[in-house]
Amino acid sequence: MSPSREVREGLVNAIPNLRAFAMSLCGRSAWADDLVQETLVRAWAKADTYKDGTNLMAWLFTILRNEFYSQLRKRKREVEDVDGEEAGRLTSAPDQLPNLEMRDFKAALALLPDDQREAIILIGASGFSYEETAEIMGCAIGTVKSRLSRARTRLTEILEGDELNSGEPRTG
Amino acid sequence: MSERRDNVDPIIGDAVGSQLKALFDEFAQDAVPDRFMKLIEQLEAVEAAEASASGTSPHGHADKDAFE
Repeated sequence: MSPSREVREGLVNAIPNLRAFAMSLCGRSAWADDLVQETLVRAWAKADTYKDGTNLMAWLFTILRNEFYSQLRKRKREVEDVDGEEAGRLTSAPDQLPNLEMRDFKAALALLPDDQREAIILIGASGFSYEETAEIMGCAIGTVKSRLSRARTRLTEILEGDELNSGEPRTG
Repeated sequence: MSERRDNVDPIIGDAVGSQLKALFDEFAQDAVPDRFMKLIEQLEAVEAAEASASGTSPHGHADKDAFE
């Protein structure tokens, strides 16, 4: 079934937010735009599963995050097959960000486990409620809250400590 | 996206939350590459072609006789 006008317009209007979510998950990279593209194609194909009047942005974010984890699993398998190293996403290309504080923050965010990063982005940046975030992530509200709390503690530790200045040279 | 205020996490507006929001907004302000609008146009074109091939209008008014 073809998407309704509401869904079609919603899809187009959601692109900037979908890109921001994808970039927050995996850096400002070609991968982020591939995720958005795949999300649009999938949303178009299964538009009949969207219930009119419900939160279209949450529905689209759910498709994007599911695609992210599915590609992540695939990439990890491929990388392990090749040389056993973690995929080099997030450090792939230097980012044009307006200031050092924001570059540091992005680097700190990249150090979080995926599920914690996702929770803190959905609540703290995208403005979803606990309930919406739990639906998007397919977990309980309590799990969202605990991931969020761990993410916040960890981010503060990274930003206040010296982890960003040790080890690998910083990119971006 | 929610307007409920009784359920807002303290991260909204604190130091970490503000930086997170600033980064997200920075990403969201990027110009949208042409490929995405082209993709939507392609999806619409495919749909229009399928609709005319199956004898239905793009708005889903199926030819009832085909099913009876």
